[in-house]
Amino acid sequence: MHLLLDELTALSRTPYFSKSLEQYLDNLIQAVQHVTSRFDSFPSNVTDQIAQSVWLATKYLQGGTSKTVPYETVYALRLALKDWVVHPCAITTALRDDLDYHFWSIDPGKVLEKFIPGVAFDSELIQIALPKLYRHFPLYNVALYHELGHFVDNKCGVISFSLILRPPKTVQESAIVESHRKEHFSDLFAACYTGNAISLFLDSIAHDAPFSVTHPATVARTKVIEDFLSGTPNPIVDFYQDVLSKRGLPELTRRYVSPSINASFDAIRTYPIANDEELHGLLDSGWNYLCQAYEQKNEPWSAVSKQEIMRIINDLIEKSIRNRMIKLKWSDAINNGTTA
Amino acid sequence: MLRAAPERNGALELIRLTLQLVQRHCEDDISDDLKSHFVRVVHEAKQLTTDPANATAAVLPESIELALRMKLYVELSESMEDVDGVETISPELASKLLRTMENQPVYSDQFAFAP
Amino acid sequence: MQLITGQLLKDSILSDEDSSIFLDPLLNEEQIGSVTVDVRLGYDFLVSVVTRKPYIELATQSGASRRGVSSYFQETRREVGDRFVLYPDQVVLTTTLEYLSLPPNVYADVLSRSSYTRLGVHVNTMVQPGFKGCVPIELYNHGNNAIELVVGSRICQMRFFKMAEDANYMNDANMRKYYGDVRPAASRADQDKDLPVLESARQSLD
Repeated sequence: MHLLLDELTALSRTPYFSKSLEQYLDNLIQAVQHVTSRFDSFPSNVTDQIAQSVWLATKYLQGGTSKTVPYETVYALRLALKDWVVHPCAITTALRDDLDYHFWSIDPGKVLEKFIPGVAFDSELIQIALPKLYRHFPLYNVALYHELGHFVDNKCGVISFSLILRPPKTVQESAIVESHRKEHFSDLFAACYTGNAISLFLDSIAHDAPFSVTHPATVARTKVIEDFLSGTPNPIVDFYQDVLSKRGLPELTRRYVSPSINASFDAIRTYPIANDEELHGLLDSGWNYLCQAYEQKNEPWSAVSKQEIMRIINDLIEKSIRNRMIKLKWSDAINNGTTA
Repeated sequence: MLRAAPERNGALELIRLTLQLVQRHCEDDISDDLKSHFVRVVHEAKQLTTDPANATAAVLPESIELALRMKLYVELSESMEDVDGVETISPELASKLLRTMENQPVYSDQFAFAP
Repeated sequence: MQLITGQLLKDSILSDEDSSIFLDPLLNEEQIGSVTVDVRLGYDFLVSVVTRKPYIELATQSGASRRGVSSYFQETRREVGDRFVLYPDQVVLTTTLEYLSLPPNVYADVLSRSSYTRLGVHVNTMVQPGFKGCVPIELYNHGNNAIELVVGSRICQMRFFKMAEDANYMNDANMRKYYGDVRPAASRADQDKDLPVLESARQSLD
């Protein structure tokens, strides 16, 4: 615990944290100081549990000192998170050397609050991780909406509840049933925000992936997404809606609008995003536009390599999102009475 | 996306902690807040196992996890029958409950990667 | 060739036409002056770093390996309103906050605003007709003191010139190296197609 306290104190001296992370870190340091000063008064299993969650929180916070935060991706996900989680969240990011994504949370406060009177954490610490290679490729980061789906599922017990409502037929298939339900749910969750982009992404990374114990076949996954988006009745979708309703959670529904970006992107210009729904929908429009551009029949793409097409379109999307963020911050500052 | 969904993030952490404290005869270290939490989770889990279709939206995710385990493992369900609060659990029963909860994976935990 | 000024300048920037000067985001119309337009410091930086190699190699002698130019720079990002400290004699690559799209018959000069020139920060570059992207800015502190810059502050000014003919930016025989960049890119001088020719010429002269 003392080593962790040293680590956290060192972190608090770095200048790269957002306000919410700074606040979280201060709370954590105070709580850990309290524990270390009264260490012998806690049972060992309690201090073990606290140490483990503080260690994880430290790991997440270390990611938050990164000078290369993918602000645009984080902003989009934060907007989506607000639809499902009402309490404040402090978000850190990690750029991974492998090709995996995750959306994890740690809440040392959950244990600390029960043992240390007066300790209160008013936000949850979340880590968003994406491959370093894709940090400037928002079209590939639709995967994070899928991971957000897993996060919401874990937080709210969606699939666990579904297993109580409708248990698997046999014990042998139970593991597969649970895994597949989780994947279908997360796919649909992502589709609520990114539309068909999640299908196109799945197709690009796992085109012919067959049924496995952990994942449904890609063709099965894209079929469910397609049915959901087109409004075609699908028993999997209906079941999730029932589960979500019983859990008092929002339903699966389109939360995006696909903006018409052709005029802007044909002119290699950023698109002026009008609202949050368009921001999410930019990924759907972006993927469709990318597929068309790859055919290289229209200007300005006929003389551009596929690699450059991918880069330029992703850059236009990233910049369009960032411009939206900047304009909102600017107008908020002006409306708060700050003069320019 | 191609690896398995994340492991349940310690959903039953507080329940396990409470049982461990009872197991080690440290009942005095269990705050009233933790005792109330334990009672609520056990009560909700039992309701879920008998009447899941009428579960309220306010049910805690921990209660769902516990209920899932109770439905899976008869031993756990039977052991929980007479548990109303922390005071009704003996250290031996706490050991038994912990053993049941920790040694039996729930469904796809075997495929999950740890964070 | 004509300097675009006054109402023509304003109309072009505020227009959505393909033939207009596109600048996004334009946070304050007051950035548009009678002769120039103020542009802001962007949020992505490439900071030059000292490495074990004593110099940046642009050309490889045959049979030798070479360290990539980008490895001499470290990426760092900021939010609008954040500070960025520019140290004396430090080279930092950044861009404007604004994304610029120029029509094929307009080019632009980019100059530091005098408030910053007086602090020792000099910028003097140009943007080709048909340019698309965030305008690259090479920051260099000529002064003795470190300077704290604020991301989003109006650090440069641009003046625009209309040409008699369109230039063909994209269809040039040499594909433009920095097309559509929204963040600073390390120099691609090592990709200059003349370099292998020059190396070959050097060997033939030996």
